[in-house]
Order: sequence, then structure tokens, then C-alpha cells
Amino acid sequence: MITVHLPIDLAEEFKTAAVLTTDAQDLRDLMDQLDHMRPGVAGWLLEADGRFRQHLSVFISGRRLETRSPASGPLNEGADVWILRAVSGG
Amino acid sequence: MKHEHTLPQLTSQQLGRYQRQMVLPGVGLDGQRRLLASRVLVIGAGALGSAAATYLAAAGVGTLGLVDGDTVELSNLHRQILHDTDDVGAAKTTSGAERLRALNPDVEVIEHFAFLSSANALELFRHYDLIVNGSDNFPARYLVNDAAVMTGKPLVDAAILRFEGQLAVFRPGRGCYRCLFPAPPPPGTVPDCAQAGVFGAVAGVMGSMQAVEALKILLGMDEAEPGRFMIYDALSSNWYRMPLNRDAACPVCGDSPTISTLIDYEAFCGVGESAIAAQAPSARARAVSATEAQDLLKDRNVTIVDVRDPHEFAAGHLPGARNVPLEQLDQLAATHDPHVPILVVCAAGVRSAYGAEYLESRGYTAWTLSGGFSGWQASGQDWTIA
Repeated sequence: MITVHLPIDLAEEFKTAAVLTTDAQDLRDLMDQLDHMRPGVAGWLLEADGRFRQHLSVFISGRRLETRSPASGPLNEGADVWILRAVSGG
Repeated sequence: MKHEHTLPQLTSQQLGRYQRQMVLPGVGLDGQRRLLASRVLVIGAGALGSAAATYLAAAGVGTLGLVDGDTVELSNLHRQILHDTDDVGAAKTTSGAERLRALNPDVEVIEHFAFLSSANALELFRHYDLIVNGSDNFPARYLVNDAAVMTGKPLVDAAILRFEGQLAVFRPGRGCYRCLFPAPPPPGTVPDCAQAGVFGAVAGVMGSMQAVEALKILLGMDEAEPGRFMIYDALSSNWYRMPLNRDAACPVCGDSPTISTLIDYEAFCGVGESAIAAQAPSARARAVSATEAQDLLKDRNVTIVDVRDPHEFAAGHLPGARNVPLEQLDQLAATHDPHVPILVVCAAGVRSAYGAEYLESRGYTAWTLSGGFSGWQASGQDWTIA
């Protein structure tokens, strides 16, 4: 299983839990599953070219993807995916 | 921090004041002496800084610097607990320092009535042992981070928005803010507290957490602890914790840093870019101002779609607007006449930009209202309550 941590505001907006588990095999599959579960989620996370939006920081099991990486590539069993977006209020 | 033999001796008054924390393992008499000899710089005497500074002062951190160039406003008071109604108009550093001195006369409070900048940050940081960041904008966050790395100071960073809090602890050599967020968000993609709101007590939680983490560092607790990033979701009452390691490719704290002096952080974060860019997460979402939207609505048959939640919509919306929360836009896209363009509206123009982009990708002509419903109200246009 894969664990994915979604940004809190996305979870709020799409009325979903912020932490989900899936059987996704790769990042594309993960995005498809999320979008199937809550239509619009993929559009929130990705540009039309399939890359993560610039303001998101994506970590897979402790390794950060390059900014605006394509949402593709394998996910190992047990992977921990964190999709973060910074806030700045103080 | 001072060496053991130069640490101050406690007076009997201090023994009484701090006895409840001195009995804790890891604190004791020596720990309390260390705290009294410590110097912490708190960036921002706002919501986070209020809570953090209050607990640091109460714990007996000997020197607290408060940096802020702002004055107290009425709208600050629901979350900035260092300030009272009578302080409106006063410098936050003055009002905050008075409160902290009254709380604990052992603490020397140093007021830095100025905004932190690339010109003053390094010199300021050198006089302190640890930095607590309670700033309220992205340029300041990157500035504080870079200055902390360059001066080798531990940094306890936090940020808040709506019902969410984020906290990160950066010890020298174990990662920094840029290892977490290497690029600032494009202007307008992340709203601020004025646009999106903030639950005041969340600031209390996060500022208190900053004080906890700062005190642990000052006391030498958890020395081996790796960097960490924590998210607090007040609505679900959940905490999430992600381990964070130094990024060897980080431009500031990596193996081969490419940034070794402070830069222009407003330029780095794109502050001052055009209003349209400031509201649109992508070039494909066409943004219109309130005035332009008014013209559009006069001249064309346009459907207004408000993508906020029903409770937000009920509190006020554009006349004739239809409420279709963002997650239901696919239903609209399946039924709406493709020849009728759509003006997408939300609170501040962020969600609507995504919505407009989504509708455009499905063949509709769609615009996003720059500044959202807040901007519409501010421009004096008509609006209605459900």
C-alpha cells in the first residue's frame, strides 16, 4: 500500500481525509485514483502538462522531487508520499 | 550560549519562580541557568510571536529580541495576545515588550522596531543563540532562513493559515526551509491570513509549539533528533509529522551552496508582479478585475459560478451567482451550455483560478475573478446575501 499525505486545504476543499492509502503502482496511477475519488483533485495538483504545480513540494519516502516534476514514475510498496504546500501567515 | 562556569546563579526569587520546570529531567538548576543566559530572537510580534515570546519569557529565557516594524491594529487582536485594545496604534515591539517585562522581570526584552531586511538580518542574528520565526510573508521566510543558515543559528519556524499550522525545526547542518520549499509559490497561489482568514487559537498552538522546540534546543534536549516538519489540522485535531533531511543540492545549506549572501527576497518571491499574475496559478486561467467583470456581465450572457463552500456563499456573493463548489465542477462541465462563458468566483481568486483552468480544459470560455469576492466587495460593486 501507498500512503499519501495531501495538503490540508485540498483535503478541506474536496471533503476528504488528509491522509489516504491506495494501491497505486506509480504517481500517474495515484493521481488517477485521487481524481476518480474526488474529481478535480488532479487539476488542483497538476498543471495541464501533467507536472506538479510550482507551489507544491512533493516528497516520496523522504526524497524530494524536483519542482514541477512530472507526476509519473514508480512508487515502491510502502512508499510515503507527502504533497506539501507552504503557508506564510504569522 | 555561555559556558557553564559563567552561567548566572539563581536568586531565591528565581528558585521559587522556576521550581515547577526545574524539577523536570533535562532542566534542573543548570538548565534554568542556561535558559537565563540564553538569547532568542523572535521575528514578528504578531500571532505566532505573541505565543512563542510569552512562553519563552515565562520560562526565563534571559534575553528576548522582538523584531517588528508594524503597529497594532484592531484586526490583530483576535490572535495576537501580546497586545491589548488600548495598544491599537502602538508599535508592536513596544506593546509586546511591556507585556513580557510585566510577565517576567528576569527577562531583558530588546525592541527592534524595524522590518527585518537583507541589510540588517545578519548583524541582528549574530547577537542571538536561536531564531524563532513568526513572520507573515514568504520573502521574510526565505530571508530568515538564509540568514539563520549563514550565521549558523538554529531556527524554529512556523506558519498558519485558516485552521492549519505548520512547524519546522532546523538545526544547523540538518536541513533548512529551502530543503523543504526550494521555490516560493508564485504570487497569489497561496492566500494570506487577510484573504483566507485564520483561526486565532491555531496561532496559540503553533507559537507555543515554537517555544517548546526552542526551549528543547536551548536545554540541549533531543540533540540527535533529525529535522522535522509538522502540520497541525485544527479541524480534524490531527498532527502529521514528516522527517526532514538536509538536501545535498540545497542552494543555501547544501554541499555546494550557490547562495552565500542575502539577496532581494521580494524579487525572489515575485512580489510586485502584475495583478493578473498575482491571482492566476497558470497563464491559462484568464483573470479579470472586478471592473472588467462588471463590463463582461453587462455586455455578454455570462454564467457566474461561485466555487466556494455553501456556507461561504451564503454569507455573501455576486448577484445572480450559482454556487458550485470546486469539487462539483465536473457536474457543471457535463451539463452547462458550452456556448455560455463562465465567470468563476471564490473568496480571493485562488480556487477560482483553478476552477477556470479546469473549465477551460473542458472547452468552456472561463474567467477567474481577480481578488475574488473580497476584491469585488472592496471595489464597491453590488453583492447579495442568500
